[in-house]
Amino acid sequence: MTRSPCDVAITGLGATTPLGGDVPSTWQSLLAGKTGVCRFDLSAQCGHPLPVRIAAPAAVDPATQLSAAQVHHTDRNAQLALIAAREAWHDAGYHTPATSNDSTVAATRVAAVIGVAVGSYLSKFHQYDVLLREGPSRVDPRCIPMILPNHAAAQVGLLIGARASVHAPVSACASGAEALALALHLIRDGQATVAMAGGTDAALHPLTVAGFSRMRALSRRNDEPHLASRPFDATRDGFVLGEGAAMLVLENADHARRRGARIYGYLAGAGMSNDSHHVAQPSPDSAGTVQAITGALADAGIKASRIRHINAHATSTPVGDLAEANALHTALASATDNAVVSATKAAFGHTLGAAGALEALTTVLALAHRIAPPTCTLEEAGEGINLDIVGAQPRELPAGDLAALSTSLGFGGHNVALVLRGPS
Amino acid sequence: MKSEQSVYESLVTLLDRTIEDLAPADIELDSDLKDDLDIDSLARLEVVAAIEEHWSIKVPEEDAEELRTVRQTVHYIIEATSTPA
Repeated sequence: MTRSPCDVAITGLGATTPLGGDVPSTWQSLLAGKTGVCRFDLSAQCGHPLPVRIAAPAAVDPATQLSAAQVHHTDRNAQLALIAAREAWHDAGYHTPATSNDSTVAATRVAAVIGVAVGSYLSKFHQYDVLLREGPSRVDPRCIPMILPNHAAAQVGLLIGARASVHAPVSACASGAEALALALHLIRDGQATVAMAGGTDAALHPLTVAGFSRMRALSRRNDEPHLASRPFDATRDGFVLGEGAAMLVLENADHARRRGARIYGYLAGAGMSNDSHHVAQPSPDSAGTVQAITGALADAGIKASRIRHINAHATSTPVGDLAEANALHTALASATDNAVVSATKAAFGHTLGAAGALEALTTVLALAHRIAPPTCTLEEAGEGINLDIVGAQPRELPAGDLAALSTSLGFGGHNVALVLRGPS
Repeated sequence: MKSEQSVYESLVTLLDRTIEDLAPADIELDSDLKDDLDIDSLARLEVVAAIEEHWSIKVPEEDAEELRTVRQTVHYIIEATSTPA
């Protein structure tokens, strides 16, 4: 006899984003239609005029929220991750680290899965500068652990005392969502009881701006930063680079109920696929994205008609947003008529490795509060985008059991879809 | 020549900034860097790098290995900064 897989509850949330330094301030600003996009010119840093001079930096400098020694030992992407993980862990009612005696879960049952797209760019370039200017003896002895892609995951693992396992999925802009999918499997498989799952990135660096600009991926609306990130809008011209971190505490639902934890909702299912088509372009038939969405629905055991809310990946690029809209129509068919779509990169910009986790977190709050957040810049949906997109004002979600979908796509053809359920 | 007290105070500030989970109140002149302050080999390298930067001196590896206590370190810094380069 096989045991049926356990439900996986969401018991803690943490975030530090372009809209706020924690979850309450982020959510409040998001509902109020505020944007984190502003003028952000890194031209002086590289000595050349950059074509893009806007971005969505973290609202609160992470260095002000940690001890001097912690800041000294970590890249900014790990600093953001540590702040978000600390908030999520306490929000779930846990103490740090899990090894302390008053903890209600053994450290050997705690996992951490933290995705990054870019990782420790800032430290890597800084240490290379030090090497060139001052020589090898001045390179920080912690340089290597600080610039590895698992840096943030390792730091968060240390923070909460995660001894079951620690992972750092790297799948470009799908990394944050992939982290949640992997954590879901760890808990269902019985490898862990509780997992800190999320994503982080801090890549506001001239090379990131120059590189994405060369791909024509970034919005050049330099004079109107607040209007630049326009997912699904007819006049969208590229995404806006952001930075931040978002963490969710996932937990075996039986365990969560036994300890009387507050349950925000459930991660009901995940679907993953790859286009195997092109390094950066979506495949013309969107088959990979469709496969991830239908896979997530099947994994959750939920019919498409039960999806009432979608948080779309929608970065604000002309090609990507249209391909995603097509994928949603193909995968959900007429069920898109009943689903209210939010594209929150309008406010956050594109937080890269954090994006999938941040959007899942936003979806959890939308279900828990029965309110779909605004797409603050939307004026007129672009051609071929026939979705019910929330505009500048948030929209109430219906009563009854609610399920939602969050999609995340990344360079390299990565597709991840998550199905979430409300608390009831 | 710098006084023992002023170098000691600067060193405590520097250790607090460089080493995680170290309370300045726990640092004494006779604290052993490894046994009392839990400064591991990697952290030790960082402390030496920070000392070199702060006092603009060069601490050769063989000298650094000899520094076992806060007091020894303070006296090493006083000596190194009073000798003309």
